[in-house]
Amino acid sequence: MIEVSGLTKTYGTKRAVDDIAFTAPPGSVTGFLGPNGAGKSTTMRMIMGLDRPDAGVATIDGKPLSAHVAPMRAAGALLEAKSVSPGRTARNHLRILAATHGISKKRVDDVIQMTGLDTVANKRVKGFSLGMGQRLGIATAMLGDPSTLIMDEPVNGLDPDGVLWVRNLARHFANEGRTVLLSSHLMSEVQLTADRVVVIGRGRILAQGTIADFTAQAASGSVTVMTSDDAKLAQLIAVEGGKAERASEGLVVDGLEPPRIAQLAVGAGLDLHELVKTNATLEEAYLSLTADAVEYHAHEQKGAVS
Amino acid sequence: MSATTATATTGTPTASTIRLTFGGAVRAEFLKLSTMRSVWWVAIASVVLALIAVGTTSHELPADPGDMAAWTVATAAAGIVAPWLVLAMYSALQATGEWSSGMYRVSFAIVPRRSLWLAAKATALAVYAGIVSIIVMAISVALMLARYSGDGATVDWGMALTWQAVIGVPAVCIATAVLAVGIGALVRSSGIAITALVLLLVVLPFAGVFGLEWLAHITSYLPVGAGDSIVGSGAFGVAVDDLGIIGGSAVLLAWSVGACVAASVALNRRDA
Repeated sequence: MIEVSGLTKTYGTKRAVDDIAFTAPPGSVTGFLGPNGAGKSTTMRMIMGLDRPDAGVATIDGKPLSAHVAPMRAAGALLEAKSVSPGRTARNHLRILAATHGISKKRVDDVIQMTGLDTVANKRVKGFSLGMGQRLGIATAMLGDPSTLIMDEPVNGLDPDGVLWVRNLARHFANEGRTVLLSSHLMSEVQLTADRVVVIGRGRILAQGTIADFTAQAASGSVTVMTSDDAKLAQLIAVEGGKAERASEGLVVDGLEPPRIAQLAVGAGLDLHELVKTNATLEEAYLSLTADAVEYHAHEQKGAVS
Repeated sequence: MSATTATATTGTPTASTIRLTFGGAVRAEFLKLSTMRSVWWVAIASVVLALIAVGTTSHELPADPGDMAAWTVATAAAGIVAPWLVLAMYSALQATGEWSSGMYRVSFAIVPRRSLWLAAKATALAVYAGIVSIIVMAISVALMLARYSGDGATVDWGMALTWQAVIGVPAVCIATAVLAVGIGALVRSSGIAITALVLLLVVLPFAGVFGLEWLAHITSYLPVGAGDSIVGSGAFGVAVDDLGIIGGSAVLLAWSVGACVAASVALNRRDA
């Protein structure tokens, strides 16, 4: 279990993480979602004890990583692939890490096999592709058989096979009762793997909860309605505190649920032709949440030659 | 890489007895050295540099044949200067290499107590520097005996100076390796670490040469000057004041421990 509270970190004048709090419970995959530069990596580095928080604490199973007798068993992390000396082989890299905790040679062989590195394990890391580097990073994270697995953008650079494998791995870890925290800037990726999401933007937590909660909270779906007299219904809706906008056909209503809209229409003697609730997709919910928090907006280049 | 795709598995859990220990961290640091080819190149270069210094330079025989034993061991000890610098540079680069390769992210995640990591790295390099310098010293003495056997070159094991050289030279190399690891971990940049070492070990000690007498006295308290006092034969050729074996050892130890304590404080306060 990862517990973060009051965590704050400033680099120079830029507040990268601003008083955040969230929990990643065991037995589930928590997606850590946010635009680039939102503070995901900084937060993960603080959880892993690499960066010192200015304020607040991050604990793994109740205590900071450094307080565990076997840190590798408490948490494994993939923070940045290729955090390896390029002149070493993948196997030697893993042997070195295993040595610190007295982890067996067999376990090294096992994770090499699990991550599909068998054929390249004795090759120097400098020749590795992005995907192989990522697999070695995941092997590193898994080596200590950790109860918490933290992965920063784990599918970066992986082929479709590898992406599927990472998703299965994350699910499998969670099903074993372990804690999984994985970051992504892509809602679609998190949606496929995670049970829960923590959304961060400009260093602040914008939302957290189950994926279903998040969707409802972030962008409640609007309702499309068509009646025999839309203008009249629009007035009734306004009186009820809802908001109705005229669309090409009928009205798009926010702030009222379909049953109440039906009551209003029928009560006023209108014929109800259509009443549909459009559920926001998770992607829409995410975008609406982070719209103001995107650090780097794409600017249209005037006069750009296409 | 296709065998692993369909089903994810975390494999058989490892024994719950695994834990982070100092011994384990030291073993890991030894593996970091032994899994890189540079460890052999540095050892070979050290031996070759000593062979060149001792074997090809023309040495002036002592006027008094009674000084032959002291001369033999002192000349052999002087062969350590270049290997000593090589070992110091190598040690510093082993520390800064963690940052230049990005390995520190993994190193500090699995050994989050950074003082432990530093102590383990310093221990591994101290042992390495010790082994290499003992080999270099042995070869240098053997070479002196072979080269000047006709002139009466000899080793007198009853003479204090012999022991000062045989034990002192590796001790100075070990202490300097630890100092270099401390400096490397403190500055984290290979360029800055090497520059600092060159200034401290090569440039500053020769300040006395330029006739600045007060500086020359300070020189005796630099690692090199302290080393001279330990070895007692002027192997490094810079000491003005003789601090004695104990004084020299205390000064050199203060340098090594001081650098590591400073690095440890900095590592624990800073972001990785």
